[in-house]
Amino acid sequence: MLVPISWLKEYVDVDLSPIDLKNSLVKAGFEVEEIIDLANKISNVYTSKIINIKKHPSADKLIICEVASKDKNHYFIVTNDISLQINDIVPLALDGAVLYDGKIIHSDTIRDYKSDGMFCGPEEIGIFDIDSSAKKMSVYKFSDSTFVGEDVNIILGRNDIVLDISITANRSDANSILGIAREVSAITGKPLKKTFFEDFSTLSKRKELRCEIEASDKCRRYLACLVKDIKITDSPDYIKRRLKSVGINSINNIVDLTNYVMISVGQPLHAFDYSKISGNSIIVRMSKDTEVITALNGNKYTLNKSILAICNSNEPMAIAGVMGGKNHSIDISTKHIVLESANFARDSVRNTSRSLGLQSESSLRFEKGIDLYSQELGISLALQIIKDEKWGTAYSIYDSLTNIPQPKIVSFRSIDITKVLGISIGKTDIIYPLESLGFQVSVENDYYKCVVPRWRDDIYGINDIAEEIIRIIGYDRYDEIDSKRMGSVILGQKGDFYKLIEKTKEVLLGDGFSEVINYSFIPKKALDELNISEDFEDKLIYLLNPLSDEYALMRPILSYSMIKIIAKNFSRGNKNVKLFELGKTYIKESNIISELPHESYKLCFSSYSVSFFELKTTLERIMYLLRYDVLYKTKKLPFMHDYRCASVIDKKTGIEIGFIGEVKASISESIYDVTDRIVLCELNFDYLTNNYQGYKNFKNISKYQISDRDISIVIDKEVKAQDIIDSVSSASNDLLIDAYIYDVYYGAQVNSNQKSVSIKLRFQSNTHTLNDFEINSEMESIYSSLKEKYNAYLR
Amino acid sequence: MENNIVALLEKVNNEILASESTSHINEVRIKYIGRTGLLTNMLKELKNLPSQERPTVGKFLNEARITIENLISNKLAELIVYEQKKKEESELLDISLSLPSFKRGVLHPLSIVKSEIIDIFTGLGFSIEDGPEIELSKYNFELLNIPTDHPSRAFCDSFYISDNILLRTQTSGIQARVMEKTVPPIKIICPGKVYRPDDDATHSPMFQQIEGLYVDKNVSLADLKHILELFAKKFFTESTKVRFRPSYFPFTEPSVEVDLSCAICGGAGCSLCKGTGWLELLGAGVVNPIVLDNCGISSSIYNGYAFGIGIERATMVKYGIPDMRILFDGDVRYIDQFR
Repeated sequence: MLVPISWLKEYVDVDLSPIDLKNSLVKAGFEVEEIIDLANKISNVYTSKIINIKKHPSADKLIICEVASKDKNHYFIVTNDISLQINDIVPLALDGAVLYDGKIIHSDTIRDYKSDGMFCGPEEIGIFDIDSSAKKMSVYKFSDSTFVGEDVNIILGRNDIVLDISITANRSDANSILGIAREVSAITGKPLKKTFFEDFSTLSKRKELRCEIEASDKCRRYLACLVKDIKITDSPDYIKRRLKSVGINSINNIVDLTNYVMISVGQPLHAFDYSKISGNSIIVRMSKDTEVITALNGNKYTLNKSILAICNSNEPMAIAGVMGGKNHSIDISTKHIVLESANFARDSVRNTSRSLGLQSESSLRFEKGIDLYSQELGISLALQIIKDEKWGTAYSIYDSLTNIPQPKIVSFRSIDITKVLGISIGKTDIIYPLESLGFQVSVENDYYKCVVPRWRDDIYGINDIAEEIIRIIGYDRYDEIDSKRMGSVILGQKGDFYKLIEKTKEVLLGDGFSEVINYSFIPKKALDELNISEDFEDKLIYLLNPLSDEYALMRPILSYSMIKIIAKNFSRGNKNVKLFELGKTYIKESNIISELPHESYKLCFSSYSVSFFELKTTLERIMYLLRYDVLYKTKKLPFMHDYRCASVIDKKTGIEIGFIGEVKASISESIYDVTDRIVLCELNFDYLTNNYQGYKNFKNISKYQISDRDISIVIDKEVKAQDIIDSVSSASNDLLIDAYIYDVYYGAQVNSNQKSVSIKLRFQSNTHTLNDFEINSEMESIYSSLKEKYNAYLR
Repeated sequence: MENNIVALLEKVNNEILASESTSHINEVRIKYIGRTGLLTNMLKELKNLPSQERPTVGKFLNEARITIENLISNKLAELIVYEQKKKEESELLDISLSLPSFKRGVLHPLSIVKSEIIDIFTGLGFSIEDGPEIELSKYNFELLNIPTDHPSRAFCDSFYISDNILLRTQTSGIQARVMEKTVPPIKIICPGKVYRPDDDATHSPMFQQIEGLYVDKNVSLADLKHILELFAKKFFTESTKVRFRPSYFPFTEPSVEVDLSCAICGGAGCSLCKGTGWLELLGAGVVNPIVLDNCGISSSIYNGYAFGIGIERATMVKYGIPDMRILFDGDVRYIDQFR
């Protein structure tokens, strides 16, 4: 919201500097984005009137103009614009002047003739909206009535400071000059100069003007005023200047009037040509599907049943709250007008604006919401100006709101305010801020009753009142207090889930894996690249309004993002890259549209710098720390190596927790240009945390000696290490405390379909030192089990 | 005989002195006092001597044996020390060599800052709560007093997956879920990813928030100020100041923007704080009584405060990161700086 300080002064006497005003507004909750000094670009340029022209004695294409301007009636200016004539009023840059583009002008001698300054073209004084290119080249001419010797900043409405204020969503009532003036008045204590304008209550009702509101849910109030004998003309300078200073160009007095009222008091107005309202009746109704309207911007729009339109007895005349229609708006020949000051529902305007792709200052304001009081204020200001400027005569009025709603009343005691704010609040702290904001406050024995101003739709209860009080008396009050109240004593806990995250990350960090965080959305084509689209089919979750196709799908697995980020690091030549990510994946579990999808935390870690077995070591360290026994089964995944990928299974439950393996070369090389092998593991982290058993019972360690034995067997090549160890473990009783394979041999010493496997076995008892006999019998049963199951024999 | 022994002793002594290694001295030992050593043999010969000579010679031989043993063990000890020293000398390492890069992994800066914030607030009695990222609009909006025609519900301000399901735009939905099922006091923080359709140097379509909620009897804006001051001093420095500015959020009333005095310049004004001396880091306020009532907590008995911190913004401020997109780049050369 642009607020020129000179315009603000129409409503309240501001004596603060722009900086102080900004700071006060910020303290009261109005962020000031920028203080714009409109004049700061141009200086020392004045209007001047040509009183005489003569030829340059030594140059054909130059003339010498004698002009009257600031402080002096005889400046001599050499120029090449021979179209200039006596009595033209033109901009004159005097010695030291600064032009719009920053150029500095010095008086100079041109072909032996001293020039006191330079005439300016339109762009040199910041005027860009001139059509003809010929005009751009020559000196700018002001209208004949322009005051001579005046700073052009003043003439062009640029002698002002404008504050760019952002208005929070709850304060659409402040989205106007008057709205900001109300706040400034409350902050500074200066009274508002005007709060209402022309009284229209005495106008005759509905005379020669019929209105019907069919869609009253979308049009909360419709106020229309028939103004007769309208004179379409230029706007007075003050209106032109003010509109210009907020970036609006002047069109004619009535269009300017609607804009001026909108900026002044926040109410969008629209003017219809009365003669074009067939049937003399205005109907506010939903459009029909086939209706077409040509809007003021010249474009044609096809309306539909969900669009609210302002119609005459035949056709739509305006798209409610968004834009008027060209065929029913005012023109040079307009005699009578109907001024519309309405309140349209914000979602209705928003949906219309979006579905037509059409936005206007008016639609933006309706979307933010307008209070029910503004319609009166808008009409009253418009009628005031029409009367003052003698543009026409207000004739009759229509108002759909027959019963003005009762004002809201909030009752409270001072303790209620203190409870919210936590600082003690006295009587004047309550009464002064509220009254200065336009609340009517009465108090009896600490029982306050305050009547909420009609423009404050955002005030409901005590908390709202507390906020109004504190933002006016200022949050500085908190600088002095030192609250030590901490409320109930409550234990803060991270919870098991976060502790397990930290534990798991410790392992990964220790093994050299660094953390990445990827977006939860992946490209539409992502799963096609991994050949797994079919696996997910109906389970995928697509955004209805993604930023782009790259961010369209909520990821069902982490592997895709991981492979991409691994590939990025590879392409940048990074060495020793090991990465992990812990994040959610998303799967639709049912087709019931109202049901939330399933979200589960996954852990993915990957590298192109380590081998499958190194990665598996990291996986096993995690499992060791989280106390899971796992087993591995060969797994085929469309994007993983057919012979180097395993599913990871919880031994206790038989449930698959994830997979580990190498990415297929046809994926890593051919699609992502990674020529090293990528190893990757993705685990269901929710499973690991939900089934976590933790450390339970203390176990004493045996104090008797450990006996180590080795056994080397020849066994079928296909038998998995895991099965050999399983067989060994189940063959022994409790005496075997550890068994692991320390050597595997393939080659000349054994048959080509066999391998030699060396196993380390460790025995120990809790009750005594084991003797050879006991150990040998264990060894015997282990060996015979291997022999029985796998035809193994000793080497 | 005795002369023989004296001669032998002298010979042994010379050989011991000449020994240069532990293996050599072992040979000397075997040669003289081993099982078939020269002196051992002389002792064995003792029985062939006349009985009156035996005690004297015997004593003499025994003394000689003890002398030899002592000489050998002394020399051996000396040689062991010498040999270990020699071995060490031969084991000279270039201690400036390192194995080819074995690095420890590094947590993502967002995780570091998130844990730091979590640690501060758990220390202040807040517990962690988690909730769905894909959320019903009821929890993301309605219960939080953001009605259907509120501007922030517009299609362009949230990612939708159906009419009433969207990617949460704030973690406040967790708060609503907890309030629905818990009798106060409630003192929670909700860290997590949230989503909004912005993508530039200071906005990311996915970012992380930590929101805090405290609902109890007699909770006020002053308590909020106090807890945020404790947080600010811990997160930045002891001298960090906290300032409230009025603002607007539908789920709090009064609502405030919370500025912290700039961590870099201490309030004097610098490029980080754009010369203002203050950093805008949190939004906060007193929980709107409408929200409490919506979630089944009587606003006539309880009140509360809530606050929200953007983890990306806090991280960027803390580490001076110029562009939010760097945080999601994933190049190890960025991440590994944060060890």
